[in-house]
Amino acid sequence: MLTQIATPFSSPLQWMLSVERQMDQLFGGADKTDPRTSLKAEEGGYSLRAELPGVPEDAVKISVEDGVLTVEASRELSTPEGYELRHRERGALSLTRRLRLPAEVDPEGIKASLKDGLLTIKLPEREKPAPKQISVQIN
Amino acid sequence: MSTELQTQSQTELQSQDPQIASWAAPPVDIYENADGFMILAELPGVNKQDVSLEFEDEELRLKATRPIEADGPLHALRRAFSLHGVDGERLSAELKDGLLTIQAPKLARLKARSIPLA
Repeated sequence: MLTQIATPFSSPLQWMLSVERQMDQLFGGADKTDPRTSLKAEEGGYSLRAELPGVPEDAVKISVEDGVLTVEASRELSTPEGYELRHRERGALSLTRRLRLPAEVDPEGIKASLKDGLLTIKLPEREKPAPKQISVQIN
Repeated sequence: MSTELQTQSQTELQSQDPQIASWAAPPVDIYENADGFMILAELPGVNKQDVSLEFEDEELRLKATRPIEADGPLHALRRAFSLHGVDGERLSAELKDGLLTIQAPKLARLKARSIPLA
């Protein structure tokens, strides 16, 4: 009988779709013509991207603990001194999100950068140990 | 002052640049004081050299592009604003952390001023 090992996500692809959905809800990019968030499989791991225009580096916190990636970001909107608001479309941001990483991601190797309002988190895969051969003696 | 989205079809955009694969109108905030307007537009992931601002017939047109993937097709950001009584010669803009700040000073003749009684 085959026993399936219980994992939170049965495949990396399923995990990716789940993360994309969560990130879309989080950053409000449900409209696919406007690529506000994306998660891509790439050589040696995954790359997670989120648009955070107007968010300075010190307003973003990323941490990993017990296989869970936590992303925190905030942006406050205030009317500049001496001005009156005429039209508003941008929204304030305050978020905390936790994502469970799949087993193949190496938490030690995660790197993040924020450039031009674009957050990129690289999630590298662990190096796979060489397969070990065990010879079983048959009497 | 009014804002309007320039409606351009995908085909029109692609005829301008065949590299453009998708487009959107970036969210903006607009502020005003006695001296002029300040417009904030979200342009995440856009480089300074890929932004253009044109002002003609009281219309300010914002165009920006950025690659969807590294070296891949482009995502275009387009927006147009009707700005009445603005001094086109003194428009200025700054891009920081993916946020574009446009300063549009009003023409001196349209600025409210108090006239002292003789």
